[in-house]
Amino acid sequence: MSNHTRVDCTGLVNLLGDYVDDQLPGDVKAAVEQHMHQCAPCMAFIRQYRFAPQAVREHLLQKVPVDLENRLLSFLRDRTKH
Amino acid sequence: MLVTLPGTNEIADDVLVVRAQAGDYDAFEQLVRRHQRRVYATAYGIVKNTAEAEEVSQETFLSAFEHLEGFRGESKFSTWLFRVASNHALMKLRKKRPEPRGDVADLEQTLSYAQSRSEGTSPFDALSQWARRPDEAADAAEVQVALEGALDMLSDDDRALLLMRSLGEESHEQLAERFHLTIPAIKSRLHRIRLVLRANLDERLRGKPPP
Repeated sequence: MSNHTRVDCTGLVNLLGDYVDDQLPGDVKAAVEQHMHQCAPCMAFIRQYRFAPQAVREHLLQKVPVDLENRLLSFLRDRTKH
Repeated sequence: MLVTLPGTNEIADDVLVVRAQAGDYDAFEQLVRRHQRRVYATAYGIVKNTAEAEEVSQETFLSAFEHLEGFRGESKFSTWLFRVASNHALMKLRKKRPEPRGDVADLEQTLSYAQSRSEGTSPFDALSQWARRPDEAADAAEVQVALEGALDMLSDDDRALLLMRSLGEESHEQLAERFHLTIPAIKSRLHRIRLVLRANLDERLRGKPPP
């Protein structure tokens, strides 16, 4: 991260969880956003931090077999006698 | 009472549950159709095997059907369902591999390594390109390989925690109860998991696997 804001960058990392969950107090959130807009590496970092779990989610949803629903319903009808 | 989901004509889960409890099997099947993809994805994310993920999905919905009568609506139906799915998946994994894998704490070396590698790098690195659109990026073969590898680096419980949050959409309060931790401890653990995941993906997408 950028040298002139190294402390702020470190502080920002510690606040990321609450930032992406929108649980920071207004003044702290504003300070985080002000820093991000001045620090391109932190902007990229937070984007990655926010989207990595979403990419995992999308990746796993793409793994779902297209005929799973029919197989599941058939299995359940059989096992529940419907 | 909210009968349909906001902005849709779909009947709300709690209404379907009441109907299913009264013996309406079509209502139960609507619940299966609605949640089957996320249940399978959660199971696959934990067991990492297609046949076992399908078995977990079957066991989850069968268990839901068998215990539907006892469901009192104290939590959302989907929360209950994803908890059943993650429990089944973790049990299956532990039967197969009794030795627990490393926790997030074990990955701190990886994390600190990856963080140090990030210092002074371009903001427009490999990950930041696809981080703009994860739905599109997840199509790319190299990203899929990286995601699989990054997930493998997490412990079973950490994978379950991450997936219960991102796929099951469980609150911090619900996760704290499930994992017998305080809310600050859950938030801290999720934060570390996200950092490890981000760092690991970044390393893999640069073609430089972590040590």
